[in-house]
Amino acid sequence: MRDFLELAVSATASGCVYALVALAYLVMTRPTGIINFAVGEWAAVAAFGGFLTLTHAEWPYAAGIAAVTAAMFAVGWATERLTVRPLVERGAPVLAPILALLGMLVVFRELISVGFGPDPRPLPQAFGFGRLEIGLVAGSYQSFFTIGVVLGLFALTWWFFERTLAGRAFEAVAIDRRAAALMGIDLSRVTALSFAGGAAIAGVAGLLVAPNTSAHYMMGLPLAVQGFTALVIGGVGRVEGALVGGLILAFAEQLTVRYAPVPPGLAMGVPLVLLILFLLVRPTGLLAAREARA
Amino acid sequence: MQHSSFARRARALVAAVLVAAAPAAFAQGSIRIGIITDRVGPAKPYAEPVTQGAEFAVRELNAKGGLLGRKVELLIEDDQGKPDVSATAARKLVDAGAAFILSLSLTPATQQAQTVSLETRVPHMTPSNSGDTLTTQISNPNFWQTGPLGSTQIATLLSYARSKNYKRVALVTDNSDLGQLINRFFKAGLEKSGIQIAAEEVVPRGATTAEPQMQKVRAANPDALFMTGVLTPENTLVLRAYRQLGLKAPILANYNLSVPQYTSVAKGLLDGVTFVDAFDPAKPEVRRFVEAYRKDTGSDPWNLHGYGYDGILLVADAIRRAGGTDRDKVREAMQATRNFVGVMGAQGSSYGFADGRRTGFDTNGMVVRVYERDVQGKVVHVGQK
Amino acid sequence: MLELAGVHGGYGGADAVRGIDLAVAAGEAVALLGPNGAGKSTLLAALSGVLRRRGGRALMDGADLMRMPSHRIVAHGLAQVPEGRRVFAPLTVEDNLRLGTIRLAGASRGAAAERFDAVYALFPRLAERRAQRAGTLSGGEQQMLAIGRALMSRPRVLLLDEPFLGLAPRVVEEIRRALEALRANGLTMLLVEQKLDIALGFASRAYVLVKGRIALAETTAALARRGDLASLYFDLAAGAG
Repeated sequence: MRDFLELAVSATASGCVYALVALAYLVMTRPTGIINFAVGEWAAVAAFGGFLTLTHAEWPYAAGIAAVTAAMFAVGWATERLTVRPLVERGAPVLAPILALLGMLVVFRELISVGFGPDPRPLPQAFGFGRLEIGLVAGSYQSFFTIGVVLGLFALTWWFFERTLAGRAFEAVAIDRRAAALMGIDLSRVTALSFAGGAAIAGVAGLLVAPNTSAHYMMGLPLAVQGFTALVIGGVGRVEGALVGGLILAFAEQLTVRYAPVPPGLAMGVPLVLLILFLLVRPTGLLAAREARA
Repeated sequence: MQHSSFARRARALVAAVLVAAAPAAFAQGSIRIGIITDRVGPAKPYAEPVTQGAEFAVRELNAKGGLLGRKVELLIEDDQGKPDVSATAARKLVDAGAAFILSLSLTPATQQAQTVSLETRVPHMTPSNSGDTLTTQISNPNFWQTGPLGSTQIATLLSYARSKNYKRVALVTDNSDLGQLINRFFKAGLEKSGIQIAAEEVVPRGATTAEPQMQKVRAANPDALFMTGVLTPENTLVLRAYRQLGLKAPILANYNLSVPQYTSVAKGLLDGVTFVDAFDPAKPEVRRFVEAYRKDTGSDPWNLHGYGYDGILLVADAIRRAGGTDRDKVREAMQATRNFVGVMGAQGSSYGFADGRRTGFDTNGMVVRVYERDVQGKVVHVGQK
Repeated sequence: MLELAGVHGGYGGADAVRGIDLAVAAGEAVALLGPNGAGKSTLLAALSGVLRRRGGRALMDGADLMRMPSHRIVAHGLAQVPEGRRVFAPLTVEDNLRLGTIRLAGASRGAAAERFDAVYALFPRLAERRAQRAGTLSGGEQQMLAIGRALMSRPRVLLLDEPFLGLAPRVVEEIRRALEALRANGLTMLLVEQKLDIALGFASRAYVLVKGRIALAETTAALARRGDLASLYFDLAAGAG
């Protein structure tokens, strides 16, 4: 039982990281329809930013995180301006920015690789490396920190979309772009903000996972795939879906490894199996959006 | 008259001496050595330092007058870790007149490049790769391997472990090709010694934690844990989970754990970890190499640089004995290499290809070292005794 | 109030409307008539700035709408009630209305509250259903919501695209009376309508659009006096290029 609870903490923490990446996708794809696979590389960029501020320059933890997250807002904004907006303004089909962003993915990865070299770089843990035991539940400080931060971010995002006028405007754009424009909602500002927000969210995911794995130039692609799988499982329609999807994916992965009597090679296939299953059987994910059109 | 002819001869003699002493006087065309490395793919963290070691060796050679009086030129190709690109790169190097090709990339890529050396008979070698299958899967008389084999690593670690009387052990690896290969060899070696495998786990590339795998290991309660993976982030996760879950079984790791990045990335997690290595810091050749490299580049080399350095010197030695770049002569000379002492290997070990073997790393040439705190510490065991 | 000169625009590569000259005086209600596919909705889209390919001049208070992005057009005082209503179904009535205030000049809580009062006074049924999801309203209520939403930005010119489509006569009457009240208050309106009888009863002037061009411009009184209304479009189409 103790093993299971310990595993639950680990799976929740991993699931939260996946959920954040899924949320990053969601925040961009809802108002624009663009699936931005570069979210993984954004996480990597932030991880290296964390290396620079926290390990190299030894800033206090909160200052470093805040600075990197703010920088990621700018990175997301810049990516949208340079890669997406020119295509949208020219009336290109939605596939065009998706492909352009795949190109940006490679650009980011090469910049990191050239700038930092191939060696992995360390990031400090938020509260040092230690073990926290709350009754029967136990896990690392970093796991609990991750869970706390992610839940907080989800609550913030939910509040933004449900309770602020700006967030409602995002929803409106997601529901009916043309009608939203007729209301006077500035579509290009919404797109720019969604990318800025998406980059910041993906950046936090990178900052949370890198203290455990190190910041390395190939970390982006697995995160992008894990986040995408979580998104498919949970559904694009609602913020909560990203969280549900991430947790389901992580629990499925880790419970299979720990308890299923299958060889490790097969256990690794769980995420892929889930992805294919959901795409075939329930492509809209578990949590459906509220009805879309009148 | 005597005076002027003497003066003339003296002048001619002085001129000849000056010309002979001039450092930049290379004869004929250069000798080209090709390198296939991975600049952008997964092998980059390991291939890059090997390449740098090779480049340094070439600089050193040329500063001392070159090879057979000719300048050594390195032609470097990037195969991105992809097998088909590797084969193309090999062909490109052959066409460019490479006398020898060094492959520094992933095992499957080097395997594919061998099809070219098999066909064109260009001498080909890997100075750093430890995949045993590279010389067994294809019977290629033009290919040699001087990296420390997985089988040698496990034999060295096993001989160290034998004194500890382990009965049941756990294996943890990753899903890279090399990691799986090394794991296979470790498993075979362990089973042959009558040691039971209590658990065998895989941490896949891109994992965010190794806790589920290590929980299984903890539940199996092994006497020792063998780490056979070669990916730094994933190995770091294993070390982290090991400590997080309160495991106490001693860790014995493959030579990947000798890479210095662990000191920064796995800080606080390394104390007591033993690992197999081919670098004895006390060996005089190593000390000389470290100093010379530091003087030339400003930074310290580590074991991976040494492989590249040794690789070039082995190739140069073979070409020197062959008297030129004729492929058959070079092949014979390479095969005849015996007792070549390089930077890598324990004191008293040497490279050689006796009995028609094509793997040259001394089977008694590896050492077991232990991390003391986060610093790579002393040698605790040598060879396979 | 609104003056168009040489306005043209369309989707894809070609112009669906061409050479549009028309004017709407302050406080006027003008009808834009024509058969299906004539380009009426396209023209409104061009005016509201949601048509990428558009050109010409559309002056409103000295500013050219053709040079302004859609959100600034709303801020400038021109709002549209789109065809098919297009309310945001998963959002509540109140949220739908509130979104209309996004460009409200001096968007303080006071200004927004005043707009809510005005719209609820005009359409009491919306007040009753303010917490309901817009997708659950009846067709007529959704139309009221669409109009109310456009009114929230305090427009001086209101474009309406077939607001009576698919509604029962009683509801049509209710909405017509509301629009009358707005007109009495000085709101300038440009109304796209397919059905001549409704349009003629409400607007003072009409333009008839056929195959992307203005084929006829008359007062509605004069139009009503024509005997051949049934075949009007057909005749105009035959005559038009």
